[in-house]
Amino acid sequence: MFTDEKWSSSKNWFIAAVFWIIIGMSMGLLTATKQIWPELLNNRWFTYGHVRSAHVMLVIYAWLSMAYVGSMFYMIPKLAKTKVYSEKMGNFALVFYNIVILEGFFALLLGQTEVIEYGEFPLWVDVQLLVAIGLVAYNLFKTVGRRQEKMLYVSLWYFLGSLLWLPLTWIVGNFPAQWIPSGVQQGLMGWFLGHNAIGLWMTTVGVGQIYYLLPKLTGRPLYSHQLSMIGFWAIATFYVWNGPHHLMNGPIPGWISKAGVIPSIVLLIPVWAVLANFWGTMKGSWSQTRTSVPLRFTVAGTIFYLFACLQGPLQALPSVSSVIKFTHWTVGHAHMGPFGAFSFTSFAAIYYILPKIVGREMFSKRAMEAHFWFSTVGFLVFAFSLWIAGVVQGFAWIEGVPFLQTVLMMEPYVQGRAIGGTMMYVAQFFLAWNMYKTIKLAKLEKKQQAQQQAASA
Amino acid sequence: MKKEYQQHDSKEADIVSDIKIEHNRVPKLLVAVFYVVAIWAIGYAIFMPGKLAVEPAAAPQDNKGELIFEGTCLSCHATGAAPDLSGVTDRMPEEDIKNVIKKGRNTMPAIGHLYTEKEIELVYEYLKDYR
Repeated sequence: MFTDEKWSSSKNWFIAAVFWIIIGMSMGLLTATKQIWPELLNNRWFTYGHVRSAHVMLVIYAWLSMAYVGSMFYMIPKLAKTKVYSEKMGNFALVFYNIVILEGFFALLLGQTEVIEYGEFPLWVDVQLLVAIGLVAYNLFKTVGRRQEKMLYVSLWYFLGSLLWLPLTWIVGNFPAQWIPSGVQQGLMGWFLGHNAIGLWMTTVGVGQIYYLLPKLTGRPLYSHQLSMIGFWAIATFYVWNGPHHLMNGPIPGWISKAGVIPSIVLLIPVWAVLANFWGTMKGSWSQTRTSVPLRFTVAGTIFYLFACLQGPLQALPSVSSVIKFTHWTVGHAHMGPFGAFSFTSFAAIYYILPKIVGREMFSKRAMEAHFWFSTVGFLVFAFSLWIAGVVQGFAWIEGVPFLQTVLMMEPYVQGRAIGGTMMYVAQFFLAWNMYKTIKLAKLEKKQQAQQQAASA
Repeated sequence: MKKEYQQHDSKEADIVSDIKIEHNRVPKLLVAVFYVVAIWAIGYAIFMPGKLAVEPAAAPQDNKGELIFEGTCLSCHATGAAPDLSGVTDRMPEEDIKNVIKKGRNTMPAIGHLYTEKEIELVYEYLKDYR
């Protein structure tokens, strides 16, 4: 029933990922539009709360996670110099994972939610998702177990780490919270998942992707082994502590608060170490970003990663948090890592890997260019609207401006966000169309080749 | 041909999975940043409270009427969902206004059970100056 074809898991996970980025971002665009026209699609399924959580869960666990698994199903066996342990199991996991995501999607639209940021799916979906992730992790660990290369390349450390950390944070965030009575403890458990889904899954797999893509795309050696070590071990040590900064100035004990602020700032160490390593590797190759779209996506991703990780630590400080907390700023920041940094590296991974799998170049270079520019410009418009809005909003609240008045003040910024968001959304259709064309043409070409061979034989 | 990784100083590159890995030293600026961050972290852990110090509000509750009015009444009366209330004390007698607050009227719900007589009085006092 499930195909055993070489690289089929990787390809199929990518196809599913791109399907979900369209659905997930439709939900996002609907959320943004509802802030302009609150009456839009105001029925029992598509209320603001349902749509917003569906957007968040879909872009993270459907689009980004599937794109990650897709690239791991290619990069891990390549680095291990072996085949995927079981392509069949990879394809089965894909079907299962998609059924679970569909269940979660409909559960959210029906109003079932756990009210945990980045962990909104109800418990009966969480359990199934954990099994699906477990299947993927088992398959990939088995693959590494059969490796022909003695050394583990940096990307493998990150991939294998992430495949353990995601189930860990998923369990801690989703399950005990059901039985803990009090709100503050639940909040802390919830934010353990909330921030580690970003830090020990989205970030670490994304960084692993960049470590793989940069040397391959530029043909240059990786800059420094020592920096790789510092970056990996520092993030693995400090990231788990980031959750409490989301409850900054809230009803948590001072020591927990500090235990959240300090590691947030200490994160500058792994982030800068990793970036120094990336940009050291880029030395002499910057001009290639003009012609190579995958490389440009990767490098733009590293730049957005830098900015996300300059904002993040500062936001953790109590004084800064007191201004921007609960404002539109946070939403702008929350999009920079998952979209600006790691969706970009995943786009690069798709553009690098897909041609290698199907055996022909991407169908349209101009569509790739359009994808890049719409994504980048759209994101900048989107993000700057929200950042300005957040600062204005934050200070207006401190000044004591009546709440409703501050809502009206946000009108132009919310519109700017929707315009930027529309551009980001449109960009993904270039990706989907380009992938469809490439795969279809590759199939056609293979068939023709086979016919020619048969004729000449 | 694989070297042990401890030899950081060696400029020779390793090759892992066909990817060349160099052994450049960590840039000095970065080492300085690491130290600054580490020292800051220790200092913060020892000397800072980890929260924003907030002074308690100076004269509490002297604008309670305004707070109730903005938090409750304006949710409808400032959005166009319900009539504008500026100068309402000129148009309606005191008893009627208090009765509407307590018992509701047309689409406006009764909210009397949420507030004490004193609080409703404060809202009425605020309404007198609301134009």
